[in-house]
Amino acid sequence: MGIQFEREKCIQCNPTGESFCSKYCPGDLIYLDSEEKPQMRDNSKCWDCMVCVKACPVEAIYTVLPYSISSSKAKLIPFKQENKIIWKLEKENEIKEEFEIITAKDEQKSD
Amino acid sequence: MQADYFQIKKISTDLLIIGGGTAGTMAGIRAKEIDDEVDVLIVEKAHLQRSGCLAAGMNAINAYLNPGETPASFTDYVKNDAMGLCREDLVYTMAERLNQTVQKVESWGLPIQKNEDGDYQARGRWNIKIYGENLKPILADKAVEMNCEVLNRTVITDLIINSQKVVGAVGFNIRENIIYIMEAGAVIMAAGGAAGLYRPNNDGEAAHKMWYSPFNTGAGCAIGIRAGAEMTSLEMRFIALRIKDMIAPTGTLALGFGAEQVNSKGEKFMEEKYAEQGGHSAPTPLRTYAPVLEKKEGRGPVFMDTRGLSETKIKELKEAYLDMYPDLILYWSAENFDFENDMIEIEGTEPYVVGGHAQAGYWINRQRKTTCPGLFAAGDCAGGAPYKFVSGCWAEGEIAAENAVKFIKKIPKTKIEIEQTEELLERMLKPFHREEGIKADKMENRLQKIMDEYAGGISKYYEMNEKELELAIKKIKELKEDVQRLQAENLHELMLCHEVIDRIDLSYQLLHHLVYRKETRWPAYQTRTDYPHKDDQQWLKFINSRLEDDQVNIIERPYHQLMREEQK
Repeated sequence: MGIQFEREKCIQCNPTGESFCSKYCPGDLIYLDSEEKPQMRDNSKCWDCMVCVKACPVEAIYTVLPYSISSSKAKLIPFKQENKIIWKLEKENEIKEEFEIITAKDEQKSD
Repeated sequence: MQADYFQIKKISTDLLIIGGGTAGTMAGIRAKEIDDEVDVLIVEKAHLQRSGCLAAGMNAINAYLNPGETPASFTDYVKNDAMGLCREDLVYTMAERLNQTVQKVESWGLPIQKNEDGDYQARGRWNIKIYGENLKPILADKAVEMNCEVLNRTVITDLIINSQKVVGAVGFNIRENIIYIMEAGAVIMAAGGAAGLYRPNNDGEAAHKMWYSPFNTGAGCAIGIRAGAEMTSLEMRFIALRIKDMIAPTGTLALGFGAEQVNSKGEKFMEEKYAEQGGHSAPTPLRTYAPVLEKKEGRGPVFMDTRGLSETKIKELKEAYLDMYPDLILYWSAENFDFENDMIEIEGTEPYVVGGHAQAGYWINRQRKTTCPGLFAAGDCAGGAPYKFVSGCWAEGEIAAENAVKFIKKIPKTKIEIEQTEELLERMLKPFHREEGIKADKMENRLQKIMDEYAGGISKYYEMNEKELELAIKKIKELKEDVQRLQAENLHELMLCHEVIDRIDLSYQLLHHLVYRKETRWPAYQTRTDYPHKDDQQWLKFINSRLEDDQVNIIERPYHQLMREEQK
């Protein structure tokens, strides 16, 4: 699998240390280049866990489906809020679906 | 590059935990709960916040005793699922605390789905639904709050042994050019199982689109193998039945949404052909092997039938995957998946070595002590107790921590001199000293090709025979010698070199187990075409192994049935 960066969007989010995408990648696959912006070492090593995608505060990272698996373009973007993530599924520049996922206890759904 | 590139740092702790995943973080927290004075150091290859199997999150706890179930009923179920052979003492003692660990993690902030009565939302006998996207950060934050020391981005390569006792470990940091020599009163190994021994489902850019974490590279077992620890049941590999291409779990479909397996003829083959073994509730190895056979015999593709779900249910299904395998939602959209008319295609994964699903790993006693004094094991690298999943790893982490703390208090810490680690450091840095050689990726490809073709990989429908396995042993032995040519240009590559070495060391040991068990106990996980039947008369026993002077020696250990009546 793999990811793509929108380089111009990156704000070098962690002024006191490593940017969050690089800091948390479980495969040590993201390094910071001479401009302190993230680079992917090797997309074929990406597990597609979306840790970096979710850690990015400005939605500058996207998961990309490898062409061998899918040729169609779609984007899945998480917007992190305090106790939840809003996932937006985008296709042909249009939001097709939205999901709200609880991540902390305070806002637990009452079924 | 040279060794003086590195700074050598000696550190000392009471309890060293190798691997800060599901089991390791819980072990650290438990040790601190028992005694805040005990120094705990968790060493993690990635970053504790998002490392191990829980990196992406988890949508269910699959080892939980729902109302009416007991540790004994759980143990019976697991034994049946493991085709009659498991360490019942380990499964039982784990089951005793499954529920309390889940409640503990809930109290730290894990949202758990509840039904109208306020009870956990059950999803089958042993399963409850959680909102677990944030599960790993919750555990990591708790470990830090409890004052566990954490060393991130640090790769452990070997244990330090002194008079047969494990007294510490050596490792290197991949960010800071530091070599660590760690002195410890006791060590808990919780570095997980192994992916990447076999050629995976996908290749090229999609090579790591796999189920088990590709960053779990067998270090958990390999480090112990090199230290002479006794390993058990490596031959019970684990093969997961997964959604094709994206390799996402199917349990959510089966347990959460009642989907059944069908072949291309529309036959519900589990019910029709495996009724005697329990139909779609048959033991997990059979549920994995049956669709593989359907494909092998020309009745593929095989699907799970989710047609007929309501709009609300489809949304619920997608949300369940967003907590665990978000990319599946992307894939369904990209591929224009039509829930009304399409069925979800499934396939088996490449074989993994995972003690938390199957039972490969360290041979341990009830205290989770390995055969090496001072070394405990928990989670995916601990053997004998399948069906651990997340909560079982927590239970085992707790038990290991309690006994490790007792051990620390009884036996004084051994002082380590830097000189005695010289050989270990030499092995650690060797790939760095070479101007040219073989890159880890190439060696990994060769390992996976050999294992796939000669030791029952996907291309062989998981089947194998003695001749193939003997060839595999010969080839992997050559590969073991070839690690002398591995070359790394930076610290990331040095980590990759050690990952492939660990995979090779574990594969070599695994092959000896596979060739020794002359029956087929766990179809797909362990299918011998030359011994196609289960043989309880001769083989209802554990196959264990120890590496001694570069020789894999096999040890048979008897199976013990627990005194059932006494427990009930």
